[in-house]
Amino acid sequence: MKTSLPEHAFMPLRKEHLKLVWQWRNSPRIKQNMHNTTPVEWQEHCAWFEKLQDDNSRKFYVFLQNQRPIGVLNFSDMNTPTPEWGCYLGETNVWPGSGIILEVAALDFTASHSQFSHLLAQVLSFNNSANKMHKVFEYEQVSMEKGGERNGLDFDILHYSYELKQWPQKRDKILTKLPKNFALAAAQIRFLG
Amino acid sequence: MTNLEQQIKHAMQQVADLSDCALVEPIEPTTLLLECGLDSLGYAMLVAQLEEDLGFDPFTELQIDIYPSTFAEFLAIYQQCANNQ
Repeated sequence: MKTSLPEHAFMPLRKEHLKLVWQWRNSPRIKQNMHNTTPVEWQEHCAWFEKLQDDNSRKFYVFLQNQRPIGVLNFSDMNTPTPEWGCYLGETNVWPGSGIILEVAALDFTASHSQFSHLLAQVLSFNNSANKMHKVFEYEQVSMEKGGERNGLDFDILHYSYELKQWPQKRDKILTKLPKNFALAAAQIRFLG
Repeated sequence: MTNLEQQIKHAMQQVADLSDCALVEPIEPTTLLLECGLDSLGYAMLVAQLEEDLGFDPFTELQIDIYPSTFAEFLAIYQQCANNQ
């Protein structure tokens, strides 16, 4: 049987992707899971991109599936031993389970840098998908704080931490818990210059 | 509703129950897969479940340029693959 798995790569954000990322960031589906739901103005977005170029503490990647941009993966606090990450799928017509590739890529990337001890993440309590995924990948929930109110309901901010020295040992075990194609797809994740 | 559509919807419910997700109701042809109630893991489990049930996986057997976004597109991919069996 022919196997046709997509290729996944992460490319540093470039000017050519700015408009697409801006449209994703302002879409209701993405905004609803953000800390800040205020629409981002185009000028504000461009200024953010300019600042990003000189900021060594942050990295912002565009997630490519078969060379097509479908989402983002970003890291902050890269100048500390405990960077924090975030991501989203901007497109909806994506390979089933593309969110899992983002989880694997974040851990692969940070675990391959010896200066990092833990990978941190924050997820809003109503974002069930991301909270469940972090549990599948065996993140430790380290704290929780009040987040505020959204759509008339109170929510919390859940703080997660992953001890990166555990990732090389746990990676295969976790991938075997997932449908079989994930190990194959995860083996081909690439980070581009 | 075709037999294939019934099988897919049944598998969606099975996966939702297993993974503690709540499917939106009803699943319409235009329902976005990323908003049907299954999360990314659930969506992947659905494809694995359907491979068990139907004996094929279009996402590995077909060269798909643009992946399905809606339920109707998802069903069409399975229909195409079923026709090729």
